[in-house]
Amino acid sequence: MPTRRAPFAGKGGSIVVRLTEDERKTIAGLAAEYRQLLEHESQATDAAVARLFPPAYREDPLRNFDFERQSHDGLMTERLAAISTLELTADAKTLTVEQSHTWLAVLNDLRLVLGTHLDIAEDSSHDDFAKDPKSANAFAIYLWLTQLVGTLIEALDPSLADLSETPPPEDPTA
Amino acid sequence: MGMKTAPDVLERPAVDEAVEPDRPWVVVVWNDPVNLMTYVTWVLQTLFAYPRPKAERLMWDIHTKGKAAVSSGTRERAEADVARLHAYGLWATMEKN
Repeated sequence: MPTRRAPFAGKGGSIVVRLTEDERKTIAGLAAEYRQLLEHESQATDAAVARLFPPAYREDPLRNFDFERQSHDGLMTERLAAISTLELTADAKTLTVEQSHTWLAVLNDLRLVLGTHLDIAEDSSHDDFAKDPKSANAFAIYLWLTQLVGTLIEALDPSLADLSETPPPEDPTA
Repeated sequence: MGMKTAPDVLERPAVDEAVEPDRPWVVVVWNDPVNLMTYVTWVLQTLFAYPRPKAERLMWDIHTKGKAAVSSGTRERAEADVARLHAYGLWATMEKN
């Protein structure tokens, strides 16, 4: 039996998308849910929104207020535009590098949203969410998105597939 | 800047930030359980044009030590870097060096 090919592959300066129609619908559906979250929740009401718009100053509420005032709306506009781009290109067989960066941003944001709502840890496994079908389903989607982000990154930069599995030795001159 | 004729330790005035314009701000990226190691490395390379070894070293520091200083500069520059890192979903803050 042939193994399933990677969902994304780099080819001559663009990214080939090998997703099924169902997978594309799922991604577009998640993107639409994500837009609803951004439009109807805030940092005060939803932990995932707080994670997407974190404070710049950990111990200076006044400066943080200014930072937010300057950066929040622009970042929100950027995120909503990225969602729209993903929806418009959900059926595309190939993406430009720029479009693929937008996909990457949205797919990674979706992982942050699901991961935050699930209160995920680095070593979370299926067993942690098995008791609640809704959480189990969300975790399965999270893992699928992890695979999508991982393969899209490697399609954009194949050398990242060879990232070392242990830290490099400390540089004494650093 | 005038020549120092005596140790200034005792007479050094209490300084506040307003008269310390050169003191750099440091941008810190914190470890989180979601962002992939390859993704963090890719963001640091893409956003700061860091060479792979530097991006990879910083990623490992984030992963194993819990955080790493990824850039520094004026307050304005640091705020801009923090905002860009937030756009990529990295958990970034800034602090005085």
